[in-house]
This record gives sequence, C-alpha cells and structure tokens, in this order.
Amino acid sequence: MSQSIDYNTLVYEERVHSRCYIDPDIFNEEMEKIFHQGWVYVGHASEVPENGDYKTTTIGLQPVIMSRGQDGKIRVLMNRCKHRGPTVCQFQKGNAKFFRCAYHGWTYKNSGELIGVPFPKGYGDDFNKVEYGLDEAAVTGEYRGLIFASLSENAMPFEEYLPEPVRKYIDNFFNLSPLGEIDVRRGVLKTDVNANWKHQLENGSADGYHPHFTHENWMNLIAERLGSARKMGVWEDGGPDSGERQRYLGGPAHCTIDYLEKRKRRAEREGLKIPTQLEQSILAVMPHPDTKGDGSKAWEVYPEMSDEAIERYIADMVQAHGEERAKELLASGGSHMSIFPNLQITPLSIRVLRPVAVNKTDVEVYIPWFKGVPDEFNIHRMRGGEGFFGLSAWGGQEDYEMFERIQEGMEAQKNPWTLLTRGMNRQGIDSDGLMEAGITDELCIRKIWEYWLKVMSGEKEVQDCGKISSEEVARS
Amino acid sequence: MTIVSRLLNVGDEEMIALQAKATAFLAKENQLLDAFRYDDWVNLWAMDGIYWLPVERGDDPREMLSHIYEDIHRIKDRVKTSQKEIAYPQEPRSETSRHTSNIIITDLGEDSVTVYSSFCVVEYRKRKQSIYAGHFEHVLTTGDGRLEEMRIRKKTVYLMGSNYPVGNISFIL
Ligand code: FES
Ligand SMILES: [Fe+2]
Repeated sequence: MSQSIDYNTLVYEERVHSRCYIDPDIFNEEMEKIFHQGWVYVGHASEVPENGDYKTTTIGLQPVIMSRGQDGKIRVLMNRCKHRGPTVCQFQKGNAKFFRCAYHGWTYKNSGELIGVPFPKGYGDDFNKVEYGLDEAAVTGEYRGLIFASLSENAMPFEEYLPEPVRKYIDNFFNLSPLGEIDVRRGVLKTDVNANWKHQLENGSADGYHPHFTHENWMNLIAERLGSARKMGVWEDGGPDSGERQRYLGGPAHCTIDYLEKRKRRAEREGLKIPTQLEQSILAVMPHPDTKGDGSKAWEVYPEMSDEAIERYIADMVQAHGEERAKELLASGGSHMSIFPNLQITPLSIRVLRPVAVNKTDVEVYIPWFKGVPDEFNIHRMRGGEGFFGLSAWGGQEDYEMFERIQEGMEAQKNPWTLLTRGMNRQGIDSDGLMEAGITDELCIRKIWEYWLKVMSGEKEVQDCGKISSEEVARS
Repeated sequence: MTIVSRLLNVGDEEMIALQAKATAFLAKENQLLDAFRYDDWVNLWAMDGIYWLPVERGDDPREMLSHIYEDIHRIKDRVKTSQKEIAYPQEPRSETSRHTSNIIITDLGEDSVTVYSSFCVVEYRKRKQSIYAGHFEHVLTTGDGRLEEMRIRKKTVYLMGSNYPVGNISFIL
C-alpha cells in the first residue's frame, strides 16, 4: 500500500475529489476498511433453500461460499482450500454435500469441516483436521433472510449496523407478501460495468434527480404505454414536505427515498390498489387491451391481472397486516433504499454491488417473487424488471452508461471536484429525528461521504455514525 | 434439439432447398441489424413473434427471469427507443459485424421450420471491441415457400456467459 492518504483533503461536505473514484490505492484501502472489515450483504436465505444448496460470491475481493449445511444452518465460508489456497467451489450456485479441493483432494463438508486428507501419514500424528476447516466469516447477521457478514471480529454489533429505521423499510418491501416472505431464487441479471462501485452506490441510494434525464427515453416509453389517462409518477423537485423525500437512516450510511405521503394521498383519492410503484412497472409491461386478439403473444408474455386476482391479493394483505398497515404498504409499494455498502432494494429489485477494481463493478439485479401472491403478479414484476434492468438501450443500461461516463470524465483534473450541495438549503430533521431532504437532493450522498471519510481516515473503526449529533440538529 | 422423424422423411433435395433458404434468411437478418435497419428488421417478424434471451439454458421464462422475453409489441418498442437520440447506451452507436454459421434445420412444423445456428457478433464502441457468441434458435414461418414470405415466429438467443456479468448489450442481438 502506498504512503498514507490524507482523506481529509479529499472529502468535504459539499464536494468530493475525483481521486476517490479513480485512484487504485484508495480502492484497495476501501476494500480493506469498508468491505473486509465492515458488514457486507452476502445473499438471501431463499437462494439456498435446501440443505447443501450454496451460492458463491465475494466479500469485497474475497471469494466466499454461502452454504446451507446438512444441519440447515447457513454459513459464509471462505472459498479457499486450507492446504495451499485454491478455490474449492467452482460454480455460481448449486448443491453439494462436500467441497473437494481438486489439487490434492482435501475434502470439506458443506459446513466447512475438513473430513478428508489423502496420504495423512505425511503429516504426522499431531495433525489435527479440526484446525483446517474452511475459514468462516468472523460474524454473520440475518434480518428477514437477508444475510450479512463481516470478516472482522471488530465489526460493530449487527443491531447497530442495521438499526430500526432501516428494518422498517426492509419490512415495507417484504410485507408486500401477505406471508411476509420473498423468493430470491428467480434468476439474476448481472452486468459488468466499467466504473467505480460508488457511482451505483450514490445513484441507488437516493439520486432522485437523474431519472428525468438519464431515463428520459424509458420514461417517454412508459408514458406512451400508460396512455394519456395515466402519468408516470415522476419525482418532482420539491422539498421534504412535498410528500416525496429522502431520509438518512443511520447505521453506517443507509438511506431511502420515501414517497409514502404522496402515494397515500393518491391512495386516499383512488382507494386500495395494487402497489402504486409496482403498478407503474406492471402497467408499463402490460399489453394494451386492444392487443387482445390481434394475433400477438402479448397476453401470454404478460398474463392478465384479473380484477379478481387483485382483489384476492388485497384481501390477503388486509388479513395479514390489518387494514391500516395494508393500506400503507400498498400505497408505498415497497421501498427504495440503500444498505451500505453493497445492497439496494427497489420496489422491483434487490441490487447487489460487487466491486472488482477501481474502474470495474459487477452489478447484480434480482427480481424476487413475493410469496403468497398470485403468480400473474410475480410474472408481471419479473417482466417489469426485465423491462428496466434487462439488455436494452434503457433502464439499468442508462445508469451504467452514466457511471462509465463519470469514470471517463473524472480524468479531467482541471477542477477535480464534484459538487454535492443540492438540497443543503432545504434539508432538516423530521419528527422521527432523521435527516430528510427533497427527493431530488443530495443529502444521502453527503451522508455516505461523511461516513466514508470517517472510516477511511481511521477516525472511526467501522462504527455507527448514524445517530444525529446535537451539533447537526443545531446546524439545520 | 431433436431431429424429428418428419425431418428424416423429407427428401434430400427439399432439405437442401430449405437449408439454403434459412441460410439466406439469417444472412439477411444479420445484414439488416449490422446496417441498423431496425425498422426493416421488425418487418421480418411474425405477429405472434417471441424474442427470448434466457439467463440460463433450460429456464422457463414464466418461472425465471430472462434478459429479454418479449412479444412483437415490445420488440417494436425496443426498436423505436433504440433509434432515439436519447438512447444513451447507444450514443455513440455500436458497430457490429455478425457471423452466423453451422446453420442446421432441426425441426419441421406444419407451417414453420426450426433453425439452429452458431453466431458470433463482434461489436465496437468507444475504443472497445467485444465479442458476443453463442447459438440462435429461429422458428421461421415458411409462408408460401418464398424467401420473402418467411417470418420469425420465435428467436431464442443462447448467449455464452449470459449467467455471468455481461457488458453493454444495448444493440440488438
Ligand atoms: S491445495 Fe487443496 S488439497 Fe492441496
Ligand atoms: Fe437510474
């Protein structure tokens, strides 16, 4: 590692130096301090439903296996043979009772325990297999099947990493299922983005400013599909009191876009409906009624959402959550949130960021199914997810294109600073004591950098800085 | 990819003629796409067309996420938006050179023929050359037997590495 970097000269509240996105030394330190020492999202339990199911992924740059052992317990194991280092699992997902290293045949149970060492005489009598099981992540934490891990014993307590406000927004997403459960094993779209991981972090955290422009093509398409009778719920340029706002949720640097108030007002006008946000994606992929009988496969690809199915779903929601809460859930239509550093939940998707290099990131998009809802509903969500995140000249690719342009543009160093002042004039503290700002503002991005600076400069060892200081309250 | 008995009963000459026609059709499709003649490409499709790019071979698109699973209306939307100036992932456009070979007829239906082929698309955009390769399966309607009457009823793209991170495929495969 290079000589130490003075991070305090690179990050200020209202601006960040582009070196933070393009310097490989900084990237390496980020992997160390944020990804290898802090908490990181690994996967959802529903991806490994049966004993022996596994998926491989990375924590930062380190290869791991999320494996459900024969005892039903999910472990996060390092994908590295304890003998001389090869990976022991070669697939992205699968089912295995054992992981056998092909180099010299050491064999591990899917719980990590070493059970077979060929030609053991060469190791003498005091060789103890128990000491050579696959390494495990130092700590793991689970909330509603979302599994997080840290490679460091010193990571903050899980409760502090994932405080109550964050859990509430996670609940908003999961509780769109009357059973409160999601199924994440429905395929994943992975994209190789030639840009630093923090562009997606910033964008997915709370950039309500970009959709109008970056996604103009997509929005026009949807507006056309929805017809003049309906308007895409575009995020407007209002302050936090407009009913659409971003909120800083604490923990390390978790954030959300919260449009509940605005949606509630609409729900009050229009009555209980399928989730508003979902409705948009659903309607956007639904064929126009006049395509019925035109010889196309429109209605096969996007099966009809009958009124009856919608009513049944709403009734199940009311029964599961009570009428008030069901109303709120349906109005909010899930969550739009970022869980630092690598998990983002949107009404359609679970998005996972996997940094690969300073200018290379794998972005994974899962479109989970909600359990206990009509299949048509899930199929529509899936088609909606493909419509936005699939291969095309819109949606996800539009975002990724912007990230790559940033990466390219940041080489221009005449003025190396970004500008992060948006909304500083209208941010404040809400009645729950959380910081809030307008939906198109940059409050959450500022808070991410504030935390980033603390961790990277060593001022904090991956600790909670989510609670708002009295100083901050005074300032706003 | 089963070679059904009906296929075996077809005489050599008829088979060769069909093969030649399918080959010409795929070449025409490649040429239109390479030339960005997307509107003409749409006209190659049958009204009941389905365009499918699965994430994993063997997935059921009703159960599992695909990269693309679209009917003719969505295909038209795709073509329309791809040509807009605000199609940023295609600003500038990708240049492509498509190569389809090993073209073989694998099934004969009442009014259609199934064609399996290998493809290689070399793409160039912004100083970066990428290669996308894999297999196509086309179900082509045979119409009255003339080449210009053939239409795509289903196009499945089995893209190598489709279940691993893929690049900016915002042009049409
Ligand atoms: S390196 Fe794995 S068994 Fe030798
Ligand atoms: Fe976006």
